[in-house]
Formats: sequence, structure tokens, C-alpha cells
Amino acid sequence: MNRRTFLGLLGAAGVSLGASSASHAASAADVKGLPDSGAVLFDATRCIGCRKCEEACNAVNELPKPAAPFSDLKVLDTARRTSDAAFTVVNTYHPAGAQAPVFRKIQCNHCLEPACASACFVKAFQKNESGAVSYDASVCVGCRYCMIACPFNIPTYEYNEALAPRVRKCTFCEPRLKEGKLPACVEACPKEALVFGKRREIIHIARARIMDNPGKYQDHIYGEHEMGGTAWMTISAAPFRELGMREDLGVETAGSYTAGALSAVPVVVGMWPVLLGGIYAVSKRKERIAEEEKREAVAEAIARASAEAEAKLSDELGKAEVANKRRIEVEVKKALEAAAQSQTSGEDKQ
Amino acid sequence: MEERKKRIPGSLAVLALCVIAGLSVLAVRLGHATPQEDDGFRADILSIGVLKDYGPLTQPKVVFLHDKHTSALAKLGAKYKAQCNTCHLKGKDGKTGLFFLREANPAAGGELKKIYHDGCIGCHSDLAGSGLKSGPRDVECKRCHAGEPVAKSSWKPLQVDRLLHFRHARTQEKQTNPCGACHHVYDPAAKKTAPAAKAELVPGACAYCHKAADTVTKGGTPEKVRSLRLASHGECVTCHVQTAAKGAGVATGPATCSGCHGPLSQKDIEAHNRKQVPENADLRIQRKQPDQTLILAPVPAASGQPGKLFTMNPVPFDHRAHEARGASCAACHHETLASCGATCHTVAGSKDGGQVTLAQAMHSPTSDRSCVSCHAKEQKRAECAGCHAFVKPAKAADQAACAACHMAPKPETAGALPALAAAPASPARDQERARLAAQLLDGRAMTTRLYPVEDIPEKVSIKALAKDYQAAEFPHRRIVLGMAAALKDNRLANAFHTDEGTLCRGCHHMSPASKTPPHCGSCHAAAGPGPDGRPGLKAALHGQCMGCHSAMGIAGKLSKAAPAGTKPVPLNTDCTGCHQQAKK
Repeated sequence: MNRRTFLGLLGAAGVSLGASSASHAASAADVKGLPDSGAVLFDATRCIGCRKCEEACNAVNELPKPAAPFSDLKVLDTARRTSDAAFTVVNTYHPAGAQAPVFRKIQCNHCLEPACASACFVKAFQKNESGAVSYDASVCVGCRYCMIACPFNIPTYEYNEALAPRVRKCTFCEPRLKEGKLPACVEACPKEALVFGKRREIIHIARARIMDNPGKYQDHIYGEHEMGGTAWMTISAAPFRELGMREDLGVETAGSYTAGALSAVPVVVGMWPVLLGGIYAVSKRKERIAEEEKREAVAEAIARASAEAEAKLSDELGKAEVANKRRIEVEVKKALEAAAQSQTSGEDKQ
Repeated sequence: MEERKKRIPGSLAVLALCVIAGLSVLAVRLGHATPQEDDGFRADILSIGVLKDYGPLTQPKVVFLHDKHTSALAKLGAKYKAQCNTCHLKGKDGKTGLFFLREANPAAGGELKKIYHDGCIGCHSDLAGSGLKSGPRDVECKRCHAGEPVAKSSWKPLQVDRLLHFRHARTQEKQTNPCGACHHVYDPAAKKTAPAAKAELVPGACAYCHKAADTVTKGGTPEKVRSLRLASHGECVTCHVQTAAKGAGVATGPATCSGCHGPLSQKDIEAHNRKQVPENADLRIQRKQPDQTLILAPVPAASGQPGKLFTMNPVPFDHRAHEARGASCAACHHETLASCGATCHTVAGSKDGGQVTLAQAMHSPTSDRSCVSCHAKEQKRAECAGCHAFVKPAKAADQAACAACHMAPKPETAGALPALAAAPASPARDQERARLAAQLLDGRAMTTRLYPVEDIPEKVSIKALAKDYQAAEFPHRRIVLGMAAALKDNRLANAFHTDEGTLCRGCHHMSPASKTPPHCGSCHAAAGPGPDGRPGLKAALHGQCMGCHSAMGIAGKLSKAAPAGTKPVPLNTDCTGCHQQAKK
């Protein structure tokens, strides 16, 4: 391939990419199209670490009972994470300068634009109208990309299940929400550390609590904007990082990081083979035709040249023959004359 | 190729040796990272960076340990004959200056650098020449210019509270002018400071004139005022040193950094001061101040309305009782000892007062010297926090909250108030105010009132939500009487809990005080939280009870005053501690 063709291919590839439609990740207080999506506010100043929420979740989801009963509060001394038998856990934290320990409930945050849904290439995760991020085990292939993608480390896997392991996480009690009931943990909490409502209302409640109690809470609702916004939000007196919550997540949804690159995939996979292949084929054909014509022209030129040469050769040969004959004649004549001369001169001498 | 192969192991061996040597040097340095003396906390760390006023620094700031030098020099006797004056020269007036080997900063930075280098390195070299252990000398730049100190600073600012003041005042008891030893006033005629002649002329705390940095006010009296740091060290330390020079047994104050600034915490310093003072000593700083006074806003009489005062009721203020609460006068009188509203915090606000009006100055909940904020701080104490953690700050419309301080004047004196308000400051005016205040304060009941005991239910059975658990039997009367008993001697509580129903409103909130307050369930729905964010009944009950226990820090504890056989306060997570499990 010559340079011009190569540059032309490059140019065509670039222009076609630009023509692809850019996909945006949404970033708004509500998920676009889901104005009534539910949300829950967790107030870290109210939680007393009684584990009633864990007990209720275990009962409603028919999960296996844990080794230590839910009334055993020693369990809170070790930091736990969600597991395939525990969709939610409560951990104890000791913020600097706090007289009493602070407790935090960990569960799926049901993000507005979930990272797990973005990473899943079989669309097993879906953000629903109710606000829940639901999981469809029937399409899951078990790649566990969702576990890597989740910034909060929530999805867990049934490693002990040999034949049909599933990804396990909080379901937001979607069946109960459909019946108009509260999620099991929200209903079980004796201190109303968990409050359920529409996302906008929950944000208002959180703001009101922060304003009505100046100096009590951190002036920030965790989850309002983190990772593009989550349905489960937290307010706390202690700084969030002292409760083991990541503060480095930013406000971009997980999907937005890859949206740009992924929107180029259809172009690359669909259009480039056709476009670039076509341009390549056309240019190749042009080359081939040019090659052929060149060959023909060369052959013709050779043929003409050789014919000319042939003619010239025979011409010269003929001329040469004639010249030769004449020379021979001349020589013969000369010889005859010489002979005749010598004859006459001999007679004289007598 | 052969030669190259031979060189590789050789160079590797050299490299390995270099790495080992380097690491061992590092280990040695790290091993010496902790200082040899004390536990790494020093109160005498000075960071010398004066050259930054002359341009950007080319070397890190010098870390100078002051006590280390004074103690080292003290051991040398002969070298230290001049004591502080070895480094801090005496000025023309015979007073020891506070700069190092100079009276003032020279014009050129190079000159200043020379003073320090010659002074420090010169002395170090002298001592080293005599065979003594000494500090860094030439070519050891970074030993002085270390930037950050190795030891941690335990320096604490020193506050002259009433205890410390008492100890100092005691030393001057026998003098004709006891206050003048420390407190001075500026004499514009003589253009220098002179001791205050008597107590009433003392301007007050040093910090009123001596600010954080040297101040220069053109045409001011005086024009130049040195910083609090220079003033306090110049006056206090020199006096301590001079007193010590009087003899070995003469009691004097510290002359080292750690003596005043650490490493003891403020609590330790207070305890130490208290030990030096007799048990029932009168710590009051005497300045002929009134015991009680009437805080009356200086509002001029309105035209056409003589005899009417357009302002809130005056506040009779027990000044003497409040003096015992702050560390010193400066706790409230933060700029000057003059009356708050005279020139600075006028009713409408003035430039002198930073545009803070009198009302704001008295009521601001966030300042640390307003009346309301100080009372709010007291409410955070454990015996108060059980209720006051939930009580929202009073809003302006809450009339009853104002009346605790703004007392209606007696009818016979009400007529004289407008004139009193407008009158300029004078001893007669102050006397009259004190008299009126005393009248109002003496008649005031200072006890926490309650409803009659028979009207306080003995036990309350909380059964509205009983399902998984039985009703909670709440020992209502015992708790109410117990809390009232704990507040018996608390003057602040007694001043404000003046109505019979006030204490009840700690729990029976958001409704007028009454012998029959509304049931919790009439405002808190059993079903769940309300739309305005108010908790549901279960959360309201749990939040109120557990919140009080947490705020008071009594969960799991038993009060000393509780009758025998009483169970300790249940932990928040101990459900059956408050209500038994429901029988199946």
C-alpha cells in the first residue's frame, strides 16, 4: 500500500467515528424517567447497633441463619462485609473524638446509574421504577464483573454453590414495595434510623435534619451525588471516612467513564469493516487495472519495437547483400581487367 | 567478549556493597531520629525565620530549642554570668530586650544573617575550642536549618486565670500600689507607660492593648505597642529572673519555656495553681466592680414620648456570681473592661463593635462570649444534656424564654428607667443601677420548681405499641424527682426552670406546660414517620428514651442516689431491660 492510500484510510476511519452518536450517562437528582423512584435515608446518629435490620432481612429473604444469633452484639466488633447469606451488615466504628461508638448499616446503595449494570454485558442488572437495582439470575453468566465494578464492594457470589451460583445483594425488598409495604429493614428499625420515601423527599428530610440541628451533622448527604447519585443515602455526625465510606468516588456515574469508548464499538465493529474494506478493495482494484494497462502498453511497445527492428534488419541485410554483390562484381571486373592488361603487356615484350 | 563477562560480577559486587552501605547509613539516621532526652515532646521549640521579611528564604527555618540552651549555659556558670543577657542584650533603659544580640532588626538581611551566624556559630566554636560539647558550627548548615523539628511541640498558650492572678496579687499584697507592679497605663505627657495608680485605673488584661503582632497606629496613644508575646515575656520572665536573683529561697515563677507553656495540659496547670492557693481563698479580681448591675440598653428617650422606654425589659445581672464562672474578666470583657453597650455594642451597632448590635452581642448562639452561647455550653453537660439535647433553641417568639432574664421592673421604679437609660456613665448612675438590680434579684426565686408530687404520676405504662413486647413500665416520678434533685444546686438551672411545668417540657415537648400533657401518640403516628419528618411513635419513644440515656452517658449505669434494688439504666440494645418479651 502506498502512503496516500494509508492516510486516506486513516482519515475515513476518524471521520466515521465522529459521525457515531455519543451516548451520555445521566446525572440528575432523579433518574430520567423514574420520578417516583424510592430511596432510603440512613441516619448514623440514630443507629444503636441492635441488628434488628439484619434479622428482618434474613427472615424476609429466607437466608440461612448465621452461626451467631442476631442478638449477639459481639459480632459488631469485627468489620464485616456483605456475603451470600447476609445482604446487609452493621459495623461499628470509633471516630476520632467521639464518646460513643458509631454504627453503620452496609447494603446495596441502589445507585441511579449502577456500575454493576454498566459492567454487565448480559443486562442482568436493571434499575427499576421502584428505585431497586434488580438482578436476573437467569441471564447471568457468572463472570462477576459486577463485583469488580461496584465502587462500594457490595455484590457477593455463591461460591459454594456448584451448579447454579448466583450473584447476591440487597433487593430493596421489591416484592414488598410492590405491595405498598416498607423494606423489611426499614420497618424493623426501632429508632427510625432508616426512612423510606421518594428520593426527592428523602433529600429534603435529610437537609431539614441537618439545618434544624446546627453543628450536629456533617453538612453533606452521602449518596446525593456520589457515583452520580444513589438511592440509599447517609447523614452522619462523624466525617464519612471515619465510618469507612469512600470519599474519593467523585460525582461521575460509573457508566460515564466508559460511555465514550463504548459508543465507538458499533462503528468499529459494524462500519469499519465495510467502509475501510470497501475503500481498500476499490483502491486495490484501481491498482490492478493500472497494472494491467501498464503491462499491455509495455507489451505493445515491445512488439512494435521488435517489428521495426525486424524490418530494419532485413532492410540492412538486403542492402548489405546488394552492396556485397556489387563489390564482388567490381572485384571480378577489376580482376578481369587486370588479367586482360597483363595479357597485352606480355605480347609486347616479344 | 571474554573481558566483558569478567567485568559483570565485579561491578555487581561493587553495587551490592554500595546498597548495603547506603541502607546502613539510613538505618543509623533513623535510629537517631528520636531525640535523646525526654519523650519527644518539648515546649521550647522556636522556629527562627526572621529573614523571610527580607525576601524568600534560601535555607529552611532554624529549629532552636530555647530551654536546651539556657540549661546548657546554666551548667557553665562563668559563661552564663550574665544569664539572659548573654544573648538578649540590655537596652538603653536597662531593660532586657527580647531580640537575639540586637536591639532591633537591621535594615539589611545580610546584616541580620551575620548577627545570627556570628552569634550562634561563634559561641559554639568558642565552647568547642574549650573542649566542651557544643552545637553545630560552620559547614553543618542543615543541623540548624532543619526546617521541621524532630520532637513534637507540646507548647500550650498560657492563660492568666483568676488562680494565677491571685497567686501574683498575693506577692504584691504589702505594696502601696499592688496592681501597678504588672498593670500599667500609657502616660501621653511622658510618652511612656506608668504603673496604674489604683485598681480602678487598671485598663484590664494585657491582651486589650497588646495584640498578636506589634501594632503601629499613626497618632495613637501610644503609637507603637509591642506584641503580646514580646510584652508578656519581657515583663513576666524578666520579673521572675530578677526575683530569683534576690536569693536562693525566694519563691518565683518559671523562667524556662516549659515552666509556663508545657508539657502539662491546661488542666494540670490549673490543678497545680489550685494547690498553691488556700481552699477558700477569695479569687475575685478586685477592681471596685459592682456585685450586681442592671443591664439597660442606652436608648435615648423618644421625642414626644417622655417617660416611655422603647426597649426590652432591663436585665438584672448578678455580676459577682458570673465572675466565678469565667477564667478571668476577659472571658466576657473581651476587648475592654468598659460596659458592653457604652461605645462598642450599641443598640444599633457601631464600627467600634464590628457592627455587632447589643442584642447580638448578648444573644449570639455561636460567639464564645455572649450570654446565650455560654448558657448553651452549660446545657451540654451530662446532667443537662438528657433534655437539652432535644430542646431546640428558643426562637424570638417564645416569650417565656425571654422573661427569665428580662425581668419586668417594679412599678415604682419603672418611671425612672428612661432617664437612667439615657444617663451618661457616672458613679451615681452605676450605684442606682446596682440598687435596682439588687431589688429585682433579691426577690427572685432560685429553685427548680415542680408540680406537687401527687400530680406527678408515679408509674407510666407505655403500651400503645405493645406487640412483640409487653408494655414498658416507666418509673416516671422517681426519674423526675431524681433529675430535680441533681439540679438542686445548679444556679443556672434554678434561674431558668422557674415555672412548675418547665422541667416537664424536657420530655413533654412541643406543647404548653401542663399537669396533663398530651399523649405522645397524639402527635407521633403509630404507623410511621410523618411527612414533615417527625418520627413515628415507636421511633419517638425509643429516640426520646435512648437519646436521653446516651446524652447523659448513663446507659448501663446506676445512680448513687437510686434506692437499693434499682436496676441500672438499660443499654440501648437491651430490649427486655425496658419491656418484657411478649408472652406467646
